[in-house]
Amino acid sequence: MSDSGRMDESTLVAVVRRAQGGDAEAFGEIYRQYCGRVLGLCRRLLRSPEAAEDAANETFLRAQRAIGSFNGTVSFATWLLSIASHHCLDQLRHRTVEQRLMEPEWSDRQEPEARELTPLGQMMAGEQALAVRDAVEALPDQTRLALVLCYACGFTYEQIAEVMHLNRNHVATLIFRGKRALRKKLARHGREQQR
Amino acid sequence: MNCFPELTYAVYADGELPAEEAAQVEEHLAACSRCRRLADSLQVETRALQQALQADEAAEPSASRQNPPQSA
Repeated sequence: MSDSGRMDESTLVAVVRRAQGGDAEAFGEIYRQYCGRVLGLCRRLLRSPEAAEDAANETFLRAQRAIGSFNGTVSFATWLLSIASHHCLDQLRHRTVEQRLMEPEWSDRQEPEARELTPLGQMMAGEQALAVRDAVEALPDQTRLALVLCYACGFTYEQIAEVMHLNRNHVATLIFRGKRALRKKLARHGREQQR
Repeated sequence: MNCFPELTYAVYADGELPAEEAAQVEEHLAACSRCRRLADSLQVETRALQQALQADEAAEPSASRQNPPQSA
């Protein structure tokens, strides 16, 4: 175990092997190690603490059933967060049309000027992390999912494409447009803060 | 060499451009200060987004989350 409380790679491999052999205590260690990240991801994707708790629980139930199929071709965190992402995506798909109609509209018609970007990046890098997270949460489902998987979970475009059943170029465009929408929201937030 | 579209620089900032295309972008960036500013800004954004969104990803489990859920 590292000082930060995270398992090092060799410990994790050993714990996963034990869990694959049916060791419930080993799966408990995995749960304690990853439940914060899984819950955080579910909260961001579902925007409801209750739904996120349920989704996180379902993720670990599914992971326990499927852990025998984990073969190390991706990291364990990626494998586990993929299960959570798939489940949250299913939940979002099942939400009613009315809920989807209430999603905020956003437009990507205007190309941003390059000069807008640096102050915005600085704002994101400053003490505005909460504003950034709020702005991400207000994005439409698909866009939010792509951004969270990319920047919170560290998934590659290829991995995001697999989770979301999209092609890689579509993922690139979703992320690009999502960031553009974020810039607009955060620029507005910045102007309001200055008043 | 012509400037690349902004989307290309955004994908480059995420480290997702294929090596050959990334090399072409880097060659252009060495010669074009406007695109270099844009690419730098996009990289700042990428890092800032990672920091903002990863900040509470590693939340420690609460006392009530010491054991995995049990199937019904």
